[in-house]
Amino acid sequence: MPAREQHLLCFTGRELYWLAGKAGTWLSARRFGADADGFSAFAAALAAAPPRPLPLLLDLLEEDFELVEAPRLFGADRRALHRRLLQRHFRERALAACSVQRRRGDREWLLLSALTHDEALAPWLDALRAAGRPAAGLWSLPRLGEKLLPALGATRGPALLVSRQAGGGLRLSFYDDGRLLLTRLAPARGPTAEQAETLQEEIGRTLRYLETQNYFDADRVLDVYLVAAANSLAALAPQLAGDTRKRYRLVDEDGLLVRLGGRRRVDAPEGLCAFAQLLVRPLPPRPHYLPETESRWLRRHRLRRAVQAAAAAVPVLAVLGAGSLWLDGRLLERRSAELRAEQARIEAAYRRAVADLEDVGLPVETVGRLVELARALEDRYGAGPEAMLRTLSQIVERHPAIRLRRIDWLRSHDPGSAFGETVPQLDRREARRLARGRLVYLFHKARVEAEAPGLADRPRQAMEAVQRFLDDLAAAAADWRVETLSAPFDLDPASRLAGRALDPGSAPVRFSFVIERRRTL
Amino acid sequence: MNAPALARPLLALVAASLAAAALLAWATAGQQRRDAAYQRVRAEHQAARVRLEEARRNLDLYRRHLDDFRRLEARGFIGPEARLRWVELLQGFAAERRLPRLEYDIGPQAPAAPPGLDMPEGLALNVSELRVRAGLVHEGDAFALWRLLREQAPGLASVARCRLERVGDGPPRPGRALVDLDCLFEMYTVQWTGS
Repeated sequence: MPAREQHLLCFTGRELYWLAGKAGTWLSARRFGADADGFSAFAAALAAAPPRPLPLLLDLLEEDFELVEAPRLFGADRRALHRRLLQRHFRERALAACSVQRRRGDREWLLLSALTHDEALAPWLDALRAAGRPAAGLWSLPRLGEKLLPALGATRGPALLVSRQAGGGLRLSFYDDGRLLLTRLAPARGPTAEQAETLQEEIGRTLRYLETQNYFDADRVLDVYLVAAANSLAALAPQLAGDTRKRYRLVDEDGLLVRLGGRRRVDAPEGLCAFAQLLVRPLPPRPHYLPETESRWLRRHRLRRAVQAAAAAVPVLAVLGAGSLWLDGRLLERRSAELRAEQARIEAAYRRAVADLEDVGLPVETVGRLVELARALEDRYGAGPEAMLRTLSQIVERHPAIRLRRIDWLRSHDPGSAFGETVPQLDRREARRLARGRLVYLFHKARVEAEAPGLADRPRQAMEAVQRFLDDLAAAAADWRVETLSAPFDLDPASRLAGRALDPGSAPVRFSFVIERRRTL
Repeated sequence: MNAPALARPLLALVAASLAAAALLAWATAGQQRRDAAYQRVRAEHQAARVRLEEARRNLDLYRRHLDDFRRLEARGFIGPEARLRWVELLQGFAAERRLPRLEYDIGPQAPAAPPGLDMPEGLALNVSELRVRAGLVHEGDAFALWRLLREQAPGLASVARCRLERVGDGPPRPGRALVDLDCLFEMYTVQWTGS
């Protein structure tokens, strides 16, 4: 990619300089006088130059500055005020500008500036227009100094910048907190050893004016930045030593240019390249002046560039977008292929699984449910009276006086089914749950009739034997409920008791009881 | 001073926009086609995965339940009742034990609905009441009868009610009843009625 060319025009009031360079290095500086030869040479140079707007730097004696205090306004009021102030101070001037330099509460200090002899500039602007390359903007060199201060490290507090004017003489510009408050031109050849005395006089004169205007406090020390060639500064340094009110900072122009990202291989007017470098950077400051013709042209020019850029960008973006979509599609294709391969594996596994399934004539779920149903039925109804009878038999074996006569056994879900024993009362909640089928009981219940045949003539022993039997049974079947239905002798005072004392065998000793177990399903 | 011409850049922009739109439309259509194909494949893949999971679940179910199912099938729990086999078993039991008498009475089959037990869809649980009255030589005959029906009678036999009453004394002798038995069995079977 070829290095980008850089071009800059500088008008001093009497002549025009054309600085040209490439990739940050200033390579040539042509001077055009304000005469017929100068204009024709300039027109020829324009015809050969690249077709783009050229920045125009103004370092003029004929540029007036007025610092005025005004109330702080906003919007349309502010614009109207600025317009009125410019009208009042520079009534006839076509190129005038207003900028806020300082704010204190609801007051602000406006720097009004205008080109007081723009007739000298007009032929050059006309030449640019005629060549179809109007000025990209007009920049005032003292105002541009505000952008130079950060490179000097002078963004805070007062600073005096002294540089050589391209057309001859010294330019002294006073800045406070990085904003221009005053600039003047002094008739001297430059900050050289021979001019040291003149230089100090001019600086002193400027200082006194600043004190008079209350822009600078007399007790303070002023930083003075002298921008010049290295050899001039070396000779000047000893003569400036010893001044206690001013702190001189000698700035080598080439070094400053390097700090700004540029270099110089041309014998341009002293100090000019540093300012020029500020305007060829990718984002230059806004122009201080812009004639209406140039403004219109530039707007159209920017629009054209934007359309050209869009016309170039649209296909690139479209290709990028289409490429992204194409890539996305390819990825989807790949994923589809992977899924198909995996699907084939799954289908094979499925076929193997199905082949392993034995055909039993019923759906698989039904088989499982059927087995579960059988298990549930077996769990509920599998057990019969065996367990109860075995326990009874074991207890009877331990009580030889007792003999079983009859057993009625039943299995039921109904809590009310009874052989005459007491049925426990259900509470309301339990009854409701039973009715709705949310609670299911399973009862195993037996009514047992037994007798003690050998103890008919010994009622007391018979009663004791029966009681021992029942106690033993209750202890052996802890999870069963045992309830006596009838005792051998009913000793209840409310009942009747009859028998034959001399024929005890005629009234056998019999008793009955109910044994019950409840299970919640 | 001539204003910078806009016609050619605008024309270029329009041409570039048209070309870009065409390119993007082509690329979008291709991408959409591939996306639709991908979604189709993904749906098929998902369906295949579901089928496989179902088959594996079924296989697992079969492996877990098939043996039990075969056992139930062999036991006669599944399918129609085998009343003849019940009768043969009771006759064989009475003869073998030399019982003085054994009477049986099998009631009509009816649908069963045990409380609190959800009946699986497609299955019908049926029950028949089998009443057995017999004179037993020994109390142990009752235990043998219950075990016989539970283990050998086709279906799931459950004792619902039973009465045992001593009717004689002395040592047990074949043909002489010492214990009177009156039992009601519930004989459960299940049948597949369809999905």
